[in-house]
Amino acid sequence: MNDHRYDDEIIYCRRLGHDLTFAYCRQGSRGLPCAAILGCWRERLPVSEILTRQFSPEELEQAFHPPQDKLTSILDIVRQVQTG
Amino acid sequence: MSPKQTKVLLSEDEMPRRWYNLAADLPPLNPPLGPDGNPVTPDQLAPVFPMNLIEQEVSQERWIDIPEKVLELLYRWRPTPLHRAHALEAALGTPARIYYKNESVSPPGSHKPNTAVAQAYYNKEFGIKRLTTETGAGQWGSALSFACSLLGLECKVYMVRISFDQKPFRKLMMQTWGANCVASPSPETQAGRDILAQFPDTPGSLGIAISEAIEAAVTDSSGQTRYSLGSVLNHVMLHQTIIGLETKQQLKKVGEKKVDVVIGCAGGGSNFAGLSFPFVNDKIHGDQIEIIPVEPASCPTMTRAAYVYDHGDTAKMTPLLPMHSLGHDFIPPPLHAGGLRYHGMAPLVSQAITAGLLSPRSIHQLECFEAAMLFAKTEGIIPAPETSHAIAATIQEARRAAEEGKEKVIIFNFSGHGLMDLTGYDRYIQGALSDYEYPEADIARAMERIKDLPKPRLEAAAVR
Repeated sequence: MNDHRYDDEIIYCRRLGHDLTFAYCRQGSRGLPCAAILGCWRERLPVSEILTRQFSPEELEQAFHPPQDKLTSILDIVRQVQTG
Repeated sequence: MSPKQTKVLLSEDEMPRRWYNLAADLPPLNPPLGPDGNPVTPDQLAPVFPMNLIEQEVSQERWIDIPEKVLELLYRWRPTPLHRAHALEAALGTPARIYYKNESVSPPGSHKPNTAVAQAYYNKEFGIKRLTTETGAGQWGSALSFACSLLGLECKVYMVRISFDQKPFRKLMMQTWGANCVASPSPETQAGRDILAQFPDTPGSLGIAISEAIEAAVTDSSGQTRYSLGSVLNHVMLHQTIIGLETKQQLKKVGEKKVDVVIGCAGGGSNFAGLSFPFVNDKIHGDQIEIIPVEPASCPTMTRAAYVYDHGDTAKMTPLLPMHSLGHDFIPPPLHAGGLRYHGMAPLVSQAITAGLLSPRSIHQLECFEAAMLFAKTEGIIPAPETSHAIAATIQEARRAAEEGKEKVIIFNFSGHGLMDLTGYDRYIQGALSDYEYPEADIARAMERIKDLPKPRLEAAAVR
């Protein structure tokens, strides 16, 4: 099955504040799906099946790891910067 | 015959002199945990935020004075008008009296400068010369650029690459106000360089842009750069409460003694919190008000509990119902976190939902655009896409009032205009948008998969 056939489908992204294609949500910026992809697309596309075919369980675990509290995530970035 | 009053105005000297802090009236939040697993301390946040804002972030004071200098800056566009939506009411044939607080009159066109100006002021007071931030479509980036220009601070905005390319006009707004706006990932930070080395054609993400903005602040050896965030955090909600505090004075001015419904769209929660928190205070003290945060049905968090954590044991270390696992086979790992959280939503808004003070609602995009079009044709202003959610909920409530024959008072936050976001209207007008219903069978299958996981406790928390 060609999982790229939905890549041009468009959705309004509530995080970025403008329209995006499914290709962006599926592949994201680091080669992993956006953590919100299931909530945003599952009504329209078989997104779970697409992801399961494309990504390993480890990759999915990384992509969908529950979000940290905002301050915690900020401090995590600070720690990464300070430790190089 | 005297003309119908359409705008309720306040003079500058009638503007509220204090912000309202809802944290004082809710059960204490569990402190966020740092990377070491211990509660975050103010000192840990010092490389990122000035101490005066950190103090506000953790404050339990109910009222916090607005500095005179901040008031003077806010006078550029505040107090904002409260409009009576006579034309919309007539079009709906409702007995309800609909009011909207027009935050689109700020120079950047949204509510965002309310906190941008305050944050820029506190940073300057602390001796900071330069602020960094991230932005998507540019609403927050343009607001902070504007604020920095008023206070003579440098502003560096890391704009997600895909937004940078798709939304050139907001980028130009930032540049006009003197900010340095670069596409993220950029070659200017280690985080950006690492990503570009691995993914040269990456369209970027908010996560990367945040990393770059924080890195730029933390690595400035002069110590004169800090990071600024436009949503989610407590001090952001605090600064926005001027919206609701002004609204209450304006309602009093026109003799409205009771508010029945308060509505705001809720992304990160700041515009919703700004209007609603002062009314939440009234509700806590006994007023009967329905307070509705509205979100898109296409990507719900509050109404479908994207991530829910629960204190499952007395040590408060058990998470957990990762509801986002609905509809697929992968269940995210648990996270040890206290309290109920909604993905991307301000903790104070999440906590108010848990306490039973709010009634979240989700609405499909076609209904939102239909509402926005009706609003534009009756009241004249073209709403931002987010704002259209609040308008759609308002119309639902106004129609309900008509069915019930009740003269309800409905207030909503007109959080921003949509003049920079007309492509969505184009797609709606061209008939290129449609709604999608979530298949009930999928819900049933997903619920079966997670039936043995711990269930969230959603009972209302005790309110002080």
